[in-house]
Amino acid sequence: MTENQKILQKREEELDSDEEQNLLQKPKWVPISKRKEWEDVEPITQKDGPKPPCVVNYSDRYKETMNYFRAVLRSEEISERTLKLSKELLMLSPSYSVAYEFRRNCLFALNGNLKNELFLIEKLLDRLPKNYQLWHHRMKCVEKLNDYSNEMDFLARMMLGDAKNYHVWVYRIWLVKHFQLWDNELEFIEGELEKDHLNNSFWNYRYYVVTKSKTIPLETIYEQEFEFVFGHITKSVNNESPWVYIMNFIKILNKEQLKVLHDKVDELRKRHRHSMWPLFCLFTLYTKYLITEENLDNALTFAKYLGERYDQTRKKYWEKQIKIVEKQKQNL
Amino acid sequence: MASCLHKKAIFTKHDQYYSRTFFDQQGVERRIKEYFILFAENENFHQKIKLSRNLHKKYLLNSLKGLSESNQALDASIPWLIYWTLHSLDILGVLDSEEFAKEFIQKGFVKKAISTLSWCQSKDGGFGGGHLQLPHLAPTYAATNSFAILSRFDPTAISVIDRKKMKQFLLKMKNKDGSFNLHENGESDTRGAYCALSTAHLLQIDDQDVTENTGKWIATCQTYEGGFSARPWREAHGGYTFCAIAALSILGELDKIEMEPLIDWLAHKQMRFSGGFQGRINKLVDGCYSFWQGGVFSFFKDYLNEQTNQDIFKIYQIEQEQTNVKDEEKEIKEEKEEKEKEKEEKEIIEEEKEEEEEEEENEPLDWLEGNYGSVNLLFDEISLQGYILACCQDNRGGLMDKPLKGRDLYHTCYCLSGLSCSQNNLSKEKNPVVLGLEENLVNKIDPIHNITELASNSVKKYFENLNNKN
Repeated sequence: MTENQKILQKREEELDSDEEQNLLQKPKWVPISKRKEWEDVEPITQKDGPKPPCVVNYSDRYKETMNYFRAVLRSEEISERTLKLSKELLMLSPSYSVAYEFRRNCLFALNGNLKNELFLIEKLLDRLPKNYQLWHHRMKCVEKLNDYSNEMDFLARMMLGDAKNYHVWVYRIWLVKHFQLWDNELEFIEGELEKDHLNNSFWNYRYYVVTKSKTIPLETIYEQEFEFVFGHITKSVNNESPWVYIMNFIKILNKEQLKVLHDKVDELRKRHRHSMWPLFCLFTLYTKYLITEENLDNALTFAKYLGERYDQTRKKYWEKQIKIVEKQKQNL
Repeated sequence: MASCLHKKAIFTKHDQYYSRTFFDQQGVERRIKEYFILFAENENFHQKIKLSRNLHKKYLLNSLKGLSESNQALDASIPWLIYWTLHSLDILGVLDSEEFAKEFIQKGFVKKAISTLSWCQSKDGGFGGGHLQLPHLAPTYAATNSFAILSRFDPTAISVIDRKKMKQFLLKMKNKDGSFNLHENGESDTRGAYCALSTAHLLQIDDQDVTENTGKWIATCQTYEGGFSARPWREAHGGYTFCAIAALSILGELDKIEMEPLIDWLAHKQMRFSGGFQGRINKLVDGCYSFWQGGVFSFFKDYLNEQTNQDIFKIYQIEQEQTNVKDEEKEIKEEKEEKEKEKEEKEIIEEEKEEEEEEEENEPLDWLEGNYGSVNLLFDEISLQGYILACCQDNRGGLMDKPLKGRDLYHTCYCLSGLSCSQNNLSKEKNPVVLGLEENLVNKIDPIHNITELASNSVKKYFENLNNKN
């Protein structure tokens, strides 16, 4: 049996075990063509041309479900039976965006049970946590349902599987903005950062929350964030995330703030001589915001150390930077 | 160059902070080291580190005959499967081989492929994932690229695409803010913008109504990290960054974004230990980012040269040739001095000690001889090639994400695309830079659409002829 067929078989078994009426005996799939309710529908078979390249070896069950679904798509029939059919198809082919769209139309038109739909989505997401269509489908259903009460728990469960899943964060940002759920978010993200501050998704989300939840100027945010971020940097000086996070603010700082930042980073540089990020941060400060001849010389020393010795992967990047600083020096 | 190809490869530092992210990283790096050591045991490294062309060819041709093993087969659409397979074969040069002519082309393969793809074309324009599926921008992009590749053998392939309806479809997907929905009522993200613009550009329907406002919208997807995300405020990510930059390059609007933070972010996405790229800060290396991240450097080569110094890379090469050997000696000397200095200092922090140990722990894997020059791109092409060739080749053929993961068509396509970008310079005067023997060199790609130059030239020629006729 090929990989493909194994996957399909597994999906078929799952689909069968999902049918509640058959708890005692192993349910048997009844071909749609043998079902009475589908008598009046003529299935449409797939056409790929004579002997197409890249044909997937679909099972008979998948093919038949697809054939009936094509017929339904054409007739645009919205009914209980087509709702059921779309579920059968999605269990077998969970990336098929058209089927979701169709299913939503049915669900909304027939006043279907959207809470049950969320359970179904979650079940499929356990298997396919990175499926675009499922996440989008969930968003549309929750929007329609206008009830977010289960969503935070649901996201917490998804994060247990993979706290960096891009979709989890895309969805959370949508949810928080749509229902204005800012109140506990900062606390939540601080807790998560405590557990794993190497997870950059947390930092990105923190930036979103601190800048969007209140209307305060970036300068104030910087003041509020400074201690927190350097607390994390001190714990792990080689962690790129908080460095990139705090360096984003440099461009808005006044002279006094720049000096405080500089002293803090310079102290870290002295304590951790084999770390790249203090040097990188100082390099930026010296070449863009605290330009003096002495500082440019220091910047050159750092750039040479990084490019030639410590961080040779970025040799060419640092050589480029060195050329720019040398030009800067000439222009002084 | 550094990475595992070099004796100074250093594991990612933990700073005595242990979390799930760190353990994942450590596990992967240990595995990668094992893979590199396989090559260290061989006396002749250059002959040993090679692209397994025949195995990949076999895997890809089998997938053309009928997909049976890729577990994406069920969840991906037919145009994608055809595109990944054909493009990989094109990069490897298989499409121009006698074997392919005999086994496929003479048996009517091109016609069959065109007819399969044309079954995915919607009556309202654009392509779906299969027969009678509603049109979606992603398969539309994949189908258009596939037609471009097929047009090398049958110039009329492009004419199968209904360009007028295609444009209508693209405009229907377009939102007022300039973004594109992937399908009707679907999600909109930078992927959508790229797929739409790449398709429009290749088919020469990228008129003002298709392109206006999109550059502005894409610029709002640049994050504080420097890279680009799917939508505003999300996390910077390799795949979306490629989509954003390629789209802006089509629009000629690279000046709309902040270039310096982008390059800082991008440069730091190449991993010190493996030489491959990660997609986001602190994530794991993945072969597919060889293209998504590595390929982005191709776009602003010219932009950077304009901004600073035209000769910059020339100087670099001369210097490198002259000081190659001396550097090594100097480095050892400096290292000694450094260590003595360290002993004198009483304030040696514990982590530093560990760091030194780690450096010594690394066995010398320094088999690289000679001078590799540069492809003019601001990343370490040789280390990237080292990662792809040593860690991403499945020994059954096909390429993969990282050691111990299985092959699939997606990773085969993007590992090979990344390999091509890192070998071939975009300016015509420069020679390719190849790790291992010359036979590792693959065909050059046009990074805007990610099809080979052969394919993109064939499309251009088709339109030239068409315009001449009219």
